[in-house]
Amino acid sequence: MIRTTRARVVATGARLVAGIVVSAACVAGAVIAIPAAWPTIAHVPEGATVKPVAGATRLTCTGAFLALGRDSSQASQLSVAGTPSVVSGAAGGSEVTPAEIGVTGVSGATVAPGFTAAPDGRDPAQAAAAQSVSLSDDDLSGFAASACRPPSMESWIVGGAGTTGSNDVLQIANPGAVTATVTFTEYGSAGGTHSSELVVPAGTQSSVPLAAGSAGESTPVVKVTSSGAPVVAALQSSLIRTLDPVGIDVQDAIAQPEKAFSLLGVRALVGSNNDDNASTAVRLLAPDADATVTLQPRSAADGRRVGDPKTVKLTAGQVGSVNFSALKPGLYAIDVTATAPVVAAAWQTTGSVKGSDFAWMTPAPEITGSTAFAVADGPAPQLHVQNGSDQATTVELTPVRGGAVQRVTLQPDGAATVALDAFTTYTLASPTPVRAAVVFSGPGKLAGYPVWATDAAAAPITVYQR
Amino acid sequence: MSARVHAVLVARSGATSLARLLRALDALSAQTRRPDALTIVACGSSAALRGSARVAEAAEAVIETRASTTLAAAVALAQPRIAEDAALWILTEDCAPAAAALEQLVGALERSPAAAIAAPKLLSDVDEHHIASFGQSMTRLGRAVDPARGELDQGQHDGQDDALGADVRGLLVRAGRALRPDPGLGGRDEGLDLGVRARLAGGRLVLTPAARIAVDAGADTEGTAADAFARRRAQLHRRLSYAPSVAVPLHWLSLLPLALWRSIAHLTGKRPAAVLPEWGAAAVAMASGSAVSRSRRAIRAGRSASWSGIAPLRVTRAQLRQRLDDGHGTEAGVHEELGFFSGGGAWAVLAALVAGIALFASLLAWPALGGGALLPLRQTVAELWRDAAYGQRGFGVDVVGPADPFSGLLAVLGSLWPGSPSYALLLLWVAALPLAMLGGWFAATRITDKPGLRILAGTIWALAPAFLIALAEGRPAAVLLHLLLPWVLHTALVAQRSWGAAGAASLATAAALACAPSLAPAFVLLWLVAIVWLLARRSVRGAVRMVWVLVPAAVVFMPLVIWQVTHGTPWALLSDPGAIIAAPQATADAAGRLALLGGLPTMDDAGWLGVLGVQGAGWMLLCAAPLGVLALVSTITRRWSVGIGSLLVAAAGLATAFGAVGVTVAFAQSQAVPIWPGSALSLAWIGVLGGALVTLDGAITRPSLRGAAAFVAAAGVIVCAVPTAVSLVAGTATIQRGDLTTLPAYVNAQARADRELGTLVLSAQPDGSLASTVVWGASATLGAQATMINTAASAPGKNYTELSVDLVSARQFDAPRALGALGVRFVVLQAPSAKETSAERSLRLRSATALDQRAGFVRVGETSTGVLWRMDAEPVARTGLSAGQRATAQLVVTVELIVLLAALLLSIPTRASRRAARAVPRAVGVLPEREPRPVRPEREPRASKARKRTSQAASVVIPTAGPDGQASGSGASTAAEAAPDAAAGSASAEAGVLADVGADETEPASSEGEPASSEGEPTSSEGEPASSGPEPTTEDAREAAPAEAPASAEGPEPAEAPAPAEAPAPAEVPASADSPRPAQGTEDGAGPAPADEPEGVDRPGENPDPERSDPEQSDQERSDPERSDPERSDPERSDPGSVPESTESVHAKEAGE
Repeated sequence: MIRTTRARVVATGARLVAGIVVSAACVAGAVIAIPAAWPTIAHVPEGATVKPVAGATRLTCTGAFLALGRDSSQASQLSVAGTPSVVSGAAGGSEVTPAEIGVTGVSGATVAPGFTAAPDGRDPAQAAAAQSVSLSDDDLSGFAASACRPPSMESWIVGGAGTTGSNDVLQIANPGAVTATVTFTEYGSAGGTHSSELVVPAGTQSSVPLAAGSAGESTPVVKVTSSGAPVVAALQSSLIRTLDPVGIDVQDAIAQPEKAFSLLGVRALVGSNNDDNASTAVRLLAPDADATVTLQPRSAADGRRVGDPKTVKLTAGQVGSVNFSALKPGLYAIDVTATAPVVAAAWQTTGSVKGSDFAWMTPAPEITGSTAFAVADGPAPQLHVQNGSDQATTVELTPVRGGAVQRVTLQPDGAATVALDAFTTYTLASPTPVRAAVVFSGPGKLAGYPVWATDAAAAPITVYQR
Repeated sequence: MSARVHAVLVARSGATSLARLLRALDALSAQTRRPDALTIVACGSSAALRGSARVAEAAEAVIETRASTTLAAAVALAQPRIAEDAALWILTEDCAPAAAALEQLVGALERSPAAAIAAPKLLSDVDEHHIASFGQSMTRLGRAVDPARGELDQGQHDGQDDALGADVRGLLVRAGRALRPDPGLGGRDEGLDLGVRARLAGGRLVLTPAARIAVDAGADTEGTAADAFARRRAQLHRRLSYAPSVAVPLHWLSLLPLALWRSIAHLTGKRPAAVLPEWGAAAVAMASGSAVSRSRRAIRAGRSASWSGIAPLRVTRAQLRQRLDDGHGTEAGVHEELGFFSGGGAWAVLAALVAGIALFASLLAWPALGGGALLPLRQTVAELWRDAAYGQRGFGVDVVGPADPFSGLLAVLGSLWPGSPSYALLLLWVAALPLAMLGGWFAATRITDKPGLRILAGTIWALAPAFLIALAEGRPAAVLLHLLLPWVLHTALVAQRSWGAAGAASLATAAALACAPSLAPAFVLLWLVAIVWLLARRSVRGAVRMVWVLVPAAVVFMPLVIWQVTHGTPWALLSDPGAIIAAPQATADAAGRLALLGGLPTMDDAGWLGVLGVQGAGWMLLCAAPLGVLALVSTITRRWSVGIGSLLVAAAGLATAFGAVGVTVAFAQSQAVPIWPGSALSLAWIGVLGGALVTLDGAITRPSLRGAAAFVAAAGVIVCAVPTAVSLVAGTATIQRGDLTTLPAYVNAQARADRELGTLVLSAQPDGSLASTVVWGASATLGAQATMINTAASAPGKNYTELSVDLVSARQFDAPRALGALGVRFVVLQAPSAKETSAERSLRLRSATALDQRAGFVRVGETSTGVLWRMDAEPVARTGLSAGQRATAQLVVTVELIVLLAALLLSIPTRASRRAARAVPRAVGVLPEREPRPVRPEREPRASKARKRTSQAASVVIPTAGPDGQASGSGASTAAEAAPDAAAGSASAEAGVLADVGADETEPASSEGEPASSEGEPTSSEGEPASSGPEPTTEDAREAAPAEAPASAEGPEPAEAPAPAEAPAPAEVPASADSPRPAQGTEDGAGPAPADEPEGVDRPGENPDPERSDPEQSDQERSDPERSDPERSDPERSDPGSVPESTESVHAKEAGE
C-alpha cells in the first residue's frame, strides 16, 4: 500500500512536471517565434515584356497661337494671333509627310500642321517636329515653343489659370480617322473635380477656353481622357497683368502620374526672398492617393543638388504648389519623388512687367537609345540633359541633315547643357536612360519642352498570361 | 489388427519445431496401437531432425523438402514409401495424439466397411477443453465451415459420426483407396476435399470422437492476410474442381467480378486487409488451370456416387443461423447516449441557424455570391466534375494537367444543388454558422461529455475569428476547411480504433487538405506523431489504420505533386486553391505574427480597428487569452495526454500560420499573394479549443468556477467576433451580390446554347502591365481554378503573350484569324476596378481604342464586366487531349476513384461497426489503459504460445482461460504475464479487458459473416468466438474475482440490483478508471472490481442479445447507462488519487443535480 502510494505520488509528480514543461515550451516557443526571422519563400510572377509593333508616327502641332475675344462683340470667339514656324525632320530611312488637320471654332480658316512618318520596318520612325511663335501684340506678347506630339488616350494638363488675366485655351486635336469623345476632369486647389465632355471629329482640332471648366481657379489641373480615338492635348496660355501682357506659352500634356520623375529646364531668373513673389514654382497633383512629395533642385550644369529638398504633403485630388524663390538665377532640374503617383509642372517667369515671358516645363521622361527631337526656331536653344542612371554615360547629338556629332559625357547623376542650332532636328543617342529638355532663353523670351522618346506610344508592355 | 498403418508426419521448420516434433513422437510412442511405420517429411532444413537420436529411432525415413511445400505435396512425397496395404495417417508436427487415438481410428475403419476415412477430434493444445476442429462441412456455395471450432468440449458433438470432411490433421485414410490430399488446394481445406472425394467414390468419412489429438488451434494466423488468401484460394480451387464441366468457364469468368464484389464487401465490412488476398486468390485460381484439371481428373477417376449424395451433409442456411449469432458482435461495453437532442446540441445548432439566417438572409435573394475569392460555379454538374478531373483546365490555351483536389470538393458541393450549382455556395454561406456549431459540438464529444461544454465548444468554433473573416472576405476554401476540421478531429482521434473511423477520417482529411494544402506539413507531422505514439503503445493495427488516414489525401494530391515537382516548383504545392485574391492579411513580421497569435488572420484587430480607430491595438490578443490559458493548463490535468495532443495541434497550426504568411507562391495576375494564414489558424484554434475543453472538463471541478471560466473564454471570443459579424449585416463585408457569370451576359448566353467557347480576357493591371487569359465556357469559375495555373510563374500552356500585345498595339494583321486559331471567339477588356490607377487606365483606354479599330472585331457592347468584342470569323474547335494525355487522365481518375471509393466503403457504418463503436467511450483519453485495445487480438495468442512453450504444464493448469486462449479471466498473475501493460492485479481493469475482448471479437466474427451475406448465404457465420466468448469469460471472471480481490465481496454487484439508483457512484470509480495506475481498484478497498461487469460483460452474458430481450429488461438496461454514463467519464469522480475526494465530489454533484 505504502509503496503504491509512493509510486502514485511519483507518477503524479512526473506528470505534473511533464505537463508544466510542455506548456512552458509552448509559451516560450510563441514568445521566441514572434520576433524571430522566419524563412520566406517568394515566387515572382514572370511577365513577358513585349514591345508592341509600331504604327505610323503621327505628330500634331498646336498650330496658330489663338487669341480669345479680340472681337469685342464676341467675347468667346477665338482668332489667330500668330502663325508659328514649324521645323520637322526624320532620321534614318524615314520620311515625314505633312498631314494638316483643320481647326474648328476659330474665325478664319486655319489648319494645324501635322506630320506622319511610316515606321522604319518594325521600329517606329525617328521623326520629330516642333513649332515656335513669337508675339508682341498689345494683348499677347512673348515667345512660345512646343514640340509636336503623338496622340494618346489620356493626358494631363498642369498649367494655366482660370483667373482674370489668364486667357488660356485647351487645344484638343484628333488626328485619327474616327471621332473622339473627350472627357475633361478638372482639379482645383480646393479639391473637388468637375467634368465636361467634348466631341472632337476626326481630323480636326477643337479649342476650349480653360476658364470654361476652371473659372476662378488659380491652379487648375485638367485630366483629358479620350475614348474612341486618341487625341493630342495642349495648353496655350497667356497672361496679362493689369493691362500689360507678360508672356505666352504653349505647353505639352503629361502622359501619366508617376512616383519619380524630373522637371528639366527650370530656369530661375529673379532671385527673391519672398516665396509669394517667386519666379519659379512647381504645381503638383496627386490624383489617386495622398502623397508626400520631395522636390530637390539640381544644377543643370553638373547635376549637383542645390539647397535642401522641399517636402510637401498632398491630399488626393487637391492641387498643391511649391515655390522656389531661393534659387539663384540659373538653369535647374527639379527631381520629384512621391509616395504616390503625382503629376507636376514647373512655372518660371522672367518678370512681371511688360515684355516679360513665362514658360511651363513638364516632366522629361527617361529616354534610352536613339530618339529624334526638333529644335524650334528661337533664341539661344540649349539641350538640358541629365543622367537618369547611376553610371556614367556619353550622349551623342547628331543633326539629322548631317553635321558634326556632339558628344556629352555625363557622370552618374550628372547633368549638362549643350548649345544647339535652332530650326534643326537632331537625334539623341544614349545607351543608358537620360532625360533631356530643349530650352530657349532670351530677353523677354522663355520657352522649353522636354524631349520625348520616339517610341513613347509603343512602350514595351509587360504581359502576365494565366 | 488387420491393416498396417503408415504415419506420415509433416514437420515444418521453425524455432520450436524440433521440440514440437519430439513431443509428437513422444505421443506416438505412447500410443496403445502404434503406427507400423513413420515417415517424417521435413519442410525446410532437416539437419536438426537428422541429428536427433530420438527421431532416428522413431522414424523409418526422413524426407527433406522445401519449406514452402504444402501438406498435400509432402504427403505425396512420402507416397512411394507407403505400402499398398497400409492405411495412411496424416500428422503434423503440432499433433499430440492421445494414447488411444490411433487405436480408435483404426477401430472406426474396421467397424464401418464403408468408411474411407476416420477423423479424430482435434483439441486445442493450449486448452484441452476446447475443440480445435471436429468435422467440417461447406455451404452450398462451397465455403468451408468448421462448425465445432472453438467450442468448449462437453461431448456435445460426440454423438455425431458423419461429416462431409474434417481437418486434415490426424485423418486416417483406409488402405487401397486412392485418396490423397490435393496439392492444388494450396494447403487449406485438404481434409474437407478428401471427405468430399471419399463420398463421391462411394465411401464416407467417419468421425471418431474418442480419438483425441491435441493440435495448434492456429489462432495466431487467423484473420491475417495470408490466412484469408489461403482460405479463398482453396475455396476457389474446390469450386472449379467440383463444378460441372459446362460451368467451369462461367466460374472462371466470374472470378474477377466476384473478387471486385467481395472487395467491396470486405471494405464495407471494415476488412481492408482481406482485399489484396481476395484478388491474389482470384488471380491464382485463374492461372491454375492444370491443377484444376488434375483435381477434376482425380475426382472423375474414382467417382461412383453422385453429387446429390453430398447435399445432405452441406451446412444449410438454417443451421448456420441456428448455430451462430448474427455476426455483428455483442452490445458489451460502454453505452453512451450521444445526447445531441437531450444535451441541447440541437438547440445550439438551431440557434446558430437562426443567427446564420439573420446575418445572411439577404444572400438568399442573390443568384450567386461574389466578391473576394468567390466566383460562380459551373452551371451543370457534368461540367463541375469535368473540372475536377485530370485533363484540360478551364483557363489558358492547351493547358492540360491535374485538377486541384479542391475542385473535386466543389463538385461535390455543387452537386448538392444540381439545378444551379452556384447557389450551393450561397446556401453554404447561410448554413456556415450552424454547420460550424454542429461540427464543433461533435468534435467536443471526443473531449467531454458535459452538454454545456459541448455547446460552448460549438459556439467558440462557430465564432472563430478566422472563420468569420473568411466568411466576410469571401474565402470559400477557408470556410470549407473550418467546417471540415472538426470532423477530421472527430474521426481521426479514433481512427486507430476501427477501420470505419479510419475510413471516415481519411476522407475528411483529404477534403480538409484539399481546402488548405498549406496544412499538409502540420497534418503529416501530427500523423507521424500519432503513428509513433501508437507504435510505442504496441498498437500495430492502430498504426496501420492511422497510416491509411493520409493515403487518400496523398493519392488525390499525387498528380499535382508530380506536376509541380517536375516543373521544379514543389513549394507551389502549398498554394491556396481556388481563386487567388490580393487582400490585406497578416504580414510576415512580428506585428503580423502577434495578430496571428491572437487568432486573427488580418491586421485590423478583427474589425475593432475600424470601430475604435485605435492604431496597433494589441489588446485584441486578450480576447483569445483566456482560451489560451485554459489550453495551457490542460497539460497538467489528469487527461494530460489529450491536453498535450491539443497543444501539439495548436502549435502545429500556429507554426503553419507563422510560416504561411511568408510563403508567396500564387499570383493574382501580376501580383504575388502570400498564403492565407486563416486556414492554419483554424487548425490552431481547434487545438486550443480542445485543450481548453480538457481543462474545463477535468481540472476545474467546481461547477461555479467552471462556469465562470467558460464564460470568460466565450466572452473574449464573442467580443472579438462582433465587428466581423456586424460587417456582414452592415454590408461592409467583401462578399457581395455576384452573377452567374464573370463574363458579359452575351457570352454566357452563347456558351450555354453552344459548345465550349473561348473568351480572351484582357485586363490592365495597376502597374500598367497587361494580364491576359483565355476563359473556356460561360464564366470563369471557382472549380476551374487550378493551382498549376495560379502558381505558374510564366505562361502556362501555349504562350500567346505577343498576340495579346499585338492586339492592343498598332500592328495591322489578321487578328481574328490568329485568335481563331486559339479557339477564341470573344475578347473582353475588363472594366476598371474601383481603385484604378493612371497607368491602368492609360493601358485600358489605349487597348480599347486599338481593339475598336481592328478589322473583324465586332464590338458587342460595353457591359459592367467590360467591353466585349466578337470575332467575325468562326474559331477552330478547342483541341482535345492527345492519346497519351487521355491515357494519363484515365489512369489518374481511375486510381483516385478506387482509393476514394475504398475510403468511402470503409467509412460507411455497418451494424457491426456501430456496435463496436458503442462499446468504447466516445471521448478519447478517458481510459488511457484501454488505449492499446486493438493490440490484444494479436498479442494474446503470442503470449499464450509463449506460455505453452515455456511450461507445458501451465497450459493445462489454467482452466479459467478464455475460450480463445485468452488469459484474461484468469488470475492476476497470469493477466500480468499475458499483458504487462494491462491493469494487473485489478479485477476491474480486467473486466474492462474482457469488455474489450468482446468488442474486438466482433471483428473476426463479422469478418466471416460478411462474405457469407455477400454471396447470398446466411448472414450468420462461424464467428463462434463472438457468441461464446463472453459467456465463459464472464463466468471465469466471476470465479476469479472473489479469489483475487476479496474486497469485491462488498462490491456493488448485489447492491445494484435492489437499489440501482445509488449503486453507480462507487461503481463508477473503477469503471471509468482513467488512471494510468491500475492498482487503484484493489487498493481503494472499495473493491468495485466487478462493478464494470454488470454493464460491460455480465449482462450480455445473461442476456446475450439485448435487442431481443423483453422490454423491461432492455428498459432497465437503457436506463442504466443513462444514469451512469455522464458520471462514468467524469474524471473527477474516478480520480484514483483520492477516492474519498472523488466520492465527495460525487455526492456534491448528486446534490447539485
